[in-house]
Amino acid sequence: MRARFVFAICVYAATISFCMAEPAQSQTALLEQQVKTSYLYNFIQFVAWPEDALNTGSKFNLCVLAGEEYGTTLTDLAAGQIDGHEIAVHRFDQFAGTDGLNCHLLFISREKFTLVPKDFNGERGMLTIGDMPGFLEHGGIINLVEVRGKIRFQINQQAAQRAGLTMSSKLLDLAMK
Amino acid sequence: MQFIRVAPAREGSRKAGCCAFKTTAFSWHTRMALSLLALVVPPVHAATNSPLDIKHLSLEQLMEIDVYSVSRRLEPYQTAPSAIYVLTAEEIRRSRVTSIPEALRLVPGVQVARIDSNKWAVSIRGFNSRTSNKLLVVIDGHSIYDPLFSGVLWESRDVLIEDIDRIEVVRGPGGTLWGANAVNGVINIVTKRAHDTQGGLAIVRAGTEERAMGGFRYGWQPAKDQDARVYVKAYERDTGYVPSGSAHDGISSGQTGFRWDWTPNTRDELRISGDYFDVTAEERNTLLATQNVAHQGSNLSTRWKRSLADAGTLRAVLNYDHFQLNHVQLGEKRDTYEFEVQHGFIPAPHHQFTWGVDYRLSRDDLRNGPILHLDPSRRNAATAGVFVQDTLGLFDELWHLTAGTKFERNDYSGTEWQPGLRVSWTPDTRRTAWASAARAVRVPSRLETDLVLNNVPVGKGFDSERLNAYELGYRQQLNASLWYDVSLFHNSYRSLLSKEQFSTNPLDFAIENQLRGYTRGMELAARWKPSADSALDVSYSFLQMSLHAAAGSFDTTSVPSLEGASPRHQLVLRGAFDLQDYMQFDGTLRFVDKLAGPAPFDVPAYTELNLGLTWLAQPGLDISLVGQNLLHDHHAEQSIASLAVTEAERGVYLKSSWSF
Repeated sequence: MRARFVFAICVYAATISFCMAEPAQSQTALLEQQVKTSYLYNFIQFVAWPEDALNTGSKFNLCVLAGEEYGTTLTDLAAGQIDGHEIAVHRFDQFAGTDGLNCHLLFISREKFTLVPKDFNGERGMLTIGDMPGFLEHGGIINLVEVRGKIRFQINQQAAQRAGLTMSSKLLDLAMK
Repeated sequence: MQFIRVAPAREGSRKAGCCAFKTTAFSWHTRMALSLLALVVPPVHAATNSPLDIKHLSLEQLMEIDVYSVSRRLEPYQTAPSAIYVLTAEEIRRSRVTSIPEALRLVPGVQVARIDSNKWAVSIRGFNSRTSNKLLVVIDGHSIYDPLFSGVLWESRDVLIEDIDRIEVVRGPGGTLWGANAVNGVINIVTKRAHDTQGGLAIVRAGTEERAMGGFRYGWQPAKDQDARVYVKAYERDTGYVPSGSAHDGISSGQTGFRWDWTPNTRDELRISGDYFDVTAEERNTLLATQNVAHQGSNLSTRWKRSLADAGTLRAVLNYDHFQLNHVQLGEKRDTYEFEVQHGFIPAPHHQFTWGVDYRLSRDDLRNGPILHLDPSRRNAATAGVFVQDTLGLFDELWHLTAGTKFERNDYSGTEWQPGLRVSWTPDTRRTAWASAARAVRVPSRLETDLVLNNVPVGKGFDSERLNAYELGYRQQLNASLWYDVSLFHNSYRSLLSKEQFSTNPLDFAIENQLRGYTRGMELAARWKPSADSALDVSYSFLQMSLHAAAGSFDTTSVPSLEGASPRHQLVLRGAFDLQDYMQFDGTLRFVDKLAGPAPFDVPAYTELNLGLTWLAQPGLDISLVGQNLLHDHHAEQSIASLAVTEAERGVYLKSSWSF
């Protein structure tokens, strides 16, 4: 009898709290997201886009295929400008082929990597960034990797050339070989 | 490019004024990260008061931020489709425990009873005893249970507590991934990477019960991409309480070991670690004279992990373990070799596939005692297994279906299948609901199979114990300061071990599989962090056991003693408070229900309290004063059913630790 009571209480408590759920920043990975977001912002400054892809005065489309936990950190970038281009942040939950939106930078977080088709290759003028082992082999341009607790990056230069992007020598120097 | 667009990137929700990161909303992780950043980021940026200002960190600075030692990557646990509880290094430090079993008291669903000053009974979801055989215990991928009786001798299997990175406890069958013996759960002790233990650490502890302990650890970088550490520890614990005479249950232990991590490139990680221990555990046996039991052991464990080009990972583990036990009743010399390969990859979108093979060879050489006799006295036992598991993401990855099975062959019970099916729903990273059904087996141990009494082999007819387990769970981060996890289970056992007593002669029995029944229960864990300098933890466990012997069984004693060995209710309340920047105060209050064994084997319920105060005297040096079991002069935790037990006494110890 008492056992049933305990079960009932617990089901009740779960129901109540479920309805009360309010958005909360996922705490544990916050720093990781912030550092990665900061990397994205840095990369923009060390990469030159072809003129046909990024016209003077047009918006810089920063696309992110990631869970909502990236929402807060991305907000900080959205208000910025870079080289006279206003940054527009677009976050996506799903991957569904190609279409009109011209992403200058596409970050695919590892949680969403399974959604990306194997034969996925970036488009001209699109800097693809991931944080998953094997991302470069899949045609990605920059991969963020964990090395002994710190986040470093690797560059696939062929893929960058294919996309018509020019990497600054500083970026290439700092990248892991 | 076309993506399924989600709500606009919250530009509108941004408050006017400064940074989107309000310091007040930060968790302690982030605060630690901030203070850490203050060290690594050049002063010019640290002075801007918003060191995580995403736009003002340079690439060089970003490359130096130690992300993972702070966040500890606890994220995967939040969405794990099983009853998992993780005790972090910080929680272990703040609870001031001096041994692994004491740390396990804090975990819901785990039963821990101190038998005497050096022996422990630890189990998950019931069937608690010194020889608890329905759980698997692993330190850094190296299993530490003794195949002789399929249990863990906690008095000699130890680590430097300060080296523990986390203890992951998975309740419920882990058989699909972990193999036999992970029937009721898995305890996985993970030590810190050598990278996180650089520099020196010296620990001295002295007290009334925890008499003396000294520990030293040193970590360095042999080369740019390598980290290493060595440690040594020794301790002595006082005897427990007995109404008259000497308890004779003290322990003295010495242990040393090392760990070496090598990351030659971004794809490969190699780890080699080893330990050596020499333990003398006193034992007060009511039948025979008192004795000093010598445990000695050494192990070497290597792990290689490679990230593959197709986003997969490959892991290979090779372990060697040598153990020697010298007990009046039995001498044991054992060499165990373990080899394991695991490969995880993404075969197609929405799938995460893992498969692996493992092989384990255990060779022993036993010395028979006056009563216990095992035939043969030497045996090589091999276990080989293969497992497959696939996790399928459904409905926009909101649902996950995990199906897997393990196929294992062992020398005691032949071939065993252990399939499992799990489904989870994760609408966002803060909520996870899951359900599971799994089958698990506990294979016979060497002792059960080969025991001979009066020239009669008693366990020849004993086969594996079997479990069908059904579980439900829900976990939620309610808001930035409140988190909880609830799980319910129903375990249906059959072919449990029975002791068929044929006559009044205590040695005239046979071991068979005539018990069956169920256990069910509920576990709740909750954490509330009302502010950055305080945290409250609650863990509650409810357990109901209902077993019975099959018709025709001659076993009349096992059911009451099994049912009576695990408490029905357990409650642990924990509080951690930072009083000042240099003072930390912690308390742990625990209630353990009575053990309802048949008299005189019952043990009354008890409530006990531990308190600790730490003074961070200066950077690197802290001094702690800890009181253990403060509410009573002494209390019993285990019944006198099988072994000579002693009671735990109130104790106080002083500890200083200095890192340099």
